[in-house]
Amino acid sequence: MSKVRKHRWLAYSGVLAMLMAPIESAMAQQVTYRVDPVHSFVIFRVKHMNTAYAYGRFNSFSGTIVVDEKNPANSSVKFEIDANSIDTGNSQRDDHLRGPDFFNVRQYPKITFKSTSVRRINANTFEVKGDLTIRGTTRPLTVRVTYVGKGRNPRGQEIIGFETTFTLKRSQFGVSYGLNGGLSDEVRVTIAVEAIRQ
Amino acid sequence: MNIVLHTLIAAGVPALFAGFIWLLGGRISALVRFQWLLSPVAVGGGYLLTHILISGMPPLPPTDATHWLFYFALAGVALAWLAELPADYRWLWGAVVLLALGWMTVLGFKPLIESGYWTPVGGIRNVVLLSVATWLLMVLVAPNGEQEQGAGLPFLLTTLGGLSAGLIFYNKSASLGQLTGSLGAILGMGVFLGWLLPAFRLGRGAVSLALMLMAWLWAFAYGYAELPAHFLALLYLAGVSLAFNRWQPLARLHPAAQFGLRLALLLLLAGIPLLLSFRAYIAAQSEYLY
Repeated sequence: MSKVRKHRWLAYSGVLAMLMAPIESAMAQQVTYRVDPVHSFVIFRVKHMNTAYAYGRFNSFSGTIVVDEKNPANSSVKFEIDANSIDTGNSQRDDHLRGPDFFNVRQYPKITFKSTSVRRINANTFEVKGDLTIRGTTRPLTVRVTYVGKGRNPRGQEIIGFETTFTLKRSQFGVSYGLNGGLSDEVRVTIAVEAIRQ
Repeated sequence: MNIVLHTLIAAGVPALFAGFIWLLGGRISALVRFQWLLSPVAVGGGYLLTHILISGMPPLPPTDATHWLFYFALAGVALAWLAELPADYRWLWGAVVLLALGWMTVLGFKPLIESGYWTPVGGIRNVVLLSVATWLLMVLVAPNGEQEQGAGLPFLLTTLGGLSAGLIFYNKSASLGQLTGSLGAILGMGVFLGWLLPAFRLGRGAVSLALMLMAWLWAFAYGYAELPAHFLALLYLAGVSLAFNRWQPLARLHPAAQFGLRLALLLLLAGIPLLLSFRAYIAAQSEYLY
């Protein structure tokens, strides 16, 4: 290679490196965490007969959280719940909830949430907007997510924790059975996650 | 609204609607010759009303596959009118019904293949079996609607609707059970009219439509709820047993004996699964009452 061509190649490489630097820096600030299902919880409550609250949970779910501490707008959340894993402590009721009256899990086995934007509200609180899909119906959802903490698990892996509680109307997702006096339309959902850095 | 009151309205209003339509065709002389058109409207329109009252008006296409039944009922009215074609052209009705059922079954159960609940091979097998079984049920029993007068046939159909409603209810779908029960109530109005007007006939079209809707409710309870396959098969047999009186050895029997025999078969084929499901429900000792 001639001296001139060698210098030109080095110059191009330098320019390319300078152009790539901000992208690499941005990539470095985004950290991906995988939801640890063992130390995470999806619970819900619904009013029964307008009298008392009935609680339940989903035992199987997965998700990823991309965290950009410096620029939270670059953060994102993906969450997927196995609707078949519903557990209210009564197998007859769980079978009914899996059926066409409620979640229709044979047609719609997954409940999903995919964020569209993340905004920091204060030091530990974020507003996460996204699309929630239940029983084949997708609707926008905005939730407030609290950052709980950060640490290391016994395996030495970096872990992070968040929690959110929100209320949705099940009828908006086509889950309308029992609205005539049996079960409330409003369902309060709490999602508490511990996620492991990838 | 109170659950019991809502259930009564969801069954009562469509039954009254059906009764009104049947009365139009049975009592108003100018409309008597249109009874073949009106009777399917009584059954199909009654079902559409009950579907709206129980599950609401479904979007098109429905997000929930079981709500296809609303649109199948609409198409079913047209198929029922076709069932009244003169004898020479009934093969056309049979062919159109088979094609329509095949298409409807694909629409109704494709989501189970897409979601992975049914394998593609198992799904195709089930679609073929359900289409053919429903077609056989409709084709075999439809002539009874033309031949039988009075309250007998509506009573047997109401009994089948009631027993299968209970069976579906105890196999984890209250809404499908409620729809089946309300269809039974619509046919129950036919019992009343059959008693009031001894010349009352449901007609080929209305009987084939009622059985198509019932079979769809059974099939959906099998696909989307927990109705076991062997109970589904017994329900189809119970439906076909309504035509046993046309079988030559039984056709010679007294009409009361034919009725009693078919009722006994219904109670055996649909009643025993209901009893077994009820026992299983009680045995679970879950205290869960929906």
